[in-house]
Amino acid sequence: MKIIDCFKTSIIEIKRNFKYLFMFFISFFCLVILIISLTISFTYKNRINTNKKYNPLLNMVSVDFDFENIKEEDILDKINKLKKINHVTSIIHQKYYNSGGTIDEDKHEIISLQPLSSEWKLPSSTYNKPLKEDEIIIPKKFYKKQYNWLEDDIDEKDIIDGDTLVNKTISIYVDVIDCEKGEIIDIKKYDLKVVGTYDPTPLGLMMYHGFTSLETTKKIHEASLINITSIYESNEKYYLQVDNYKNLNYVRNEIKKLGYTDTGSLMFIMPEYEKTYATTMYIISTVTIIFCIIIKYLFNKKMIFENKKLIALNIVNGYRIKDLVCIETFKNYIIDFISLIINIFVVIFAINLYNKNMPKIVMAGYVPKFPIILFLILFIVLYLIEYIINKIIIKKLLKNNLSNLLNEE
Amino acid sequence: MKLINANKKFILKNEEITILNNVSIEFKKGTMYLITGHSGSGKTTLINILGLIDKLDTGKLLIDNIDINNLNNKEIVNIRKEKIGFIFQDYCLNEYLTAKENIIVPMLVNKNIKSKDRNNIAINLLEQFNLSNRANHLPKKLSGGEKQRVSIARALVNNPKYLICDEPTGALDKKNERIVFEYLKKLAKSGICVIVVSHSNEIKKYADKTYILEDGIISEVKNEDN
Ligand SMILES: Nc1ncnc2c1ncn2[C@@H]1O[C@H](COP(=O)(O)OP(=O)(O)OP(=O)(O)O)[C@@H](O)[C@H]1O
Ligand SMILES: [Mg+2]
Repeated sequence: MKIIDCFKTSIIEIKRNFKYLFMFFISFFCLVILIISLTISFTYKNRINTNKKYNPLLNMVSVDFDFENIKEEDILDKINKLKKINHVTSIIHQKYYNSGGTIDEDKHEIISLQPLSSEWKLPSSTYNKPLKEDEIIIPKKFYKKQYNWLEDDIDEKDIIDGDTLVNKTISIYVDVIDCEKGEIIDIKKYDLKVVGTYDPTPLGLMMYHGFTSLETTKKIHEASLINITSIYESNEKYYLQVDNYKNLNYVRNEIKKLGYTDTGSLMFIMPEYEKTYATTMYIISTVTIIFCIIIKYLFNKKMIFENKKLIALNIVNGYRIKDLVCIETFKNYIIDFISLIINIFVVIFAINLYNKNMPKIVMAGYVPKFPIILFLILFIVLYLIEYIINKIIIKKLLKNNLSNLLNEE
Repeated sequence: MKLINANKKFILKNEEITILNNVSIEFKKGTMYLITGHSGSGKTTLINILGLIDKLDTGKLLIDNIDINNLNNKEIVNIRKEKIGFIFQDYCLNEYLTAKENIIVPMLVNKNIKSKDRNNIAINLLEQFNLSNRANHLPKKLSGGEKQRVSIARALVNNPKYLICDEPTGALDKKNERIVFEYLKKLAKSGICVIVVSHSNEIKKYADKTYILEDGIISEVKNEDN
């Protein structure tokens, strides 16, 4: 039997037998659950992977010294020892992560500054050289109004295309705080040259995070705090920037060998619970697949056994088992095919809806992703599943005596 | 088509039912055979064996001098396809296909018929059986007699040499019965071997040879007409 005849026969039967509408709903229902759970798993998986690769914060180990009983020279000595550990690219004091300022004098528009050690490459970065003094890389979509970031609707007007600012200077106003008095005594202005943009979404960073060199961040931070008391200094940690996520454990071991306390980092926790999330979703996907295969098997079996007389008759007509399997497989696969196509549109629609309705800044990093390649794989896998299921059922049916199949009512 | 020393038994629990007991019989082309016998005597089983639906326990079945026992699956499929047509009491039509499409079904596996010719062959057959205006009707819209004519047409599409009919008129009235038997007789005259199982008295006028199956033994009944 030619494939085209098999196909035509299947189409005719699907069109005329309303039971296949029911089969369509089953197929559609299964695919919706499968695709939703796969989308969530892929979103998390993707986020974890890009973070491991690009997020400097995730690739750091923090070290705690016993600051109260330590002399300044000792700290320097220890830092020098830490610097010699393989894979450590730089060391920075935790406090420098808190720098930032406003970019207008009315203080509505805030920018947060992160130090970027020279070896790091940010996602979709347009500038890959080490940053020099007073240079800054800003988000591709740059959102300046921080104060209403929890509000649902962010005005599109407030989002600036970062690339239009490249090679321009932005001014940052930093409050100078007298720590003893606890009050702002001055405002200092820094001009930073925008040298490039990056994409903050995969990192889960907000749209107002700029990156400067370690030195610039340090300079701005130090200038903004005056009369720092010991409260600010003690119990704070040093961050060790590691060149690759894979080397984190190695570095942590080395720190232990030196006898220092490795306190990990908050950021270690993030991928862990997201990993659990992703795994949970993979488990749900797997359970869905198994569940759906069983459901499919039972319903296909019901349909085929209802038709056993005609199938037996086709054997009498000279059909081979191959031909019968082909027809049954095609009937079911065509249904799966249609429901998968509809599902693609549903997924695209749902993802767009999600993107539209989530506050843009909050959702940074949770970009729902369903790889197109997976759809292609699904098209093939579905065919294989249908083929195997139907082959098993037909073989099972034909274990019965042909004459019995023909005579039974 | 020949049966030589054929034996067939069914064993149900402790009971043994003998259907064929060392039966030898020949069915020739161009002849219309009638097989009778009381219910449960094994008529259906016998013609199922002849139509390669069932198997003998021992003995030989020769179709055009080919011993079926020596054939592999593929060759059996080919014999079913090319040499044998089957007609059932309950028509066995696919209720989702029209009369014409039902007739096309067996052609789909016949390599000797080009796909563009199928439609014409089906239409010609429908014409022969007076069904031209029913070509695009689904079986549920056809009468019993029309359905049986569709199923005869379907049995004939691949030009079988042997047409095997199991109570083809069991569900039909006298008038339709006669129509069907006339077609079968015509087919026999055109050179096909037609084997009919029937309880009908009507058919005795048409059959060239009548056999009765009783207790595993087939014996010829002399027709008063012949
Ligand atoms: N697959 C089977 N397994 C066991 N016994 C069977 C099988 N098929 C048929 N029989 C038995 O063999 C006997 C003959 O059955 P068969 O259907 O051939 O009779 P028949 O002459 O066609 O009867 P009817 O005129 O009622 O159609 C019956 O007693 C039946 O119960
Ligand atoms: Mg019978």
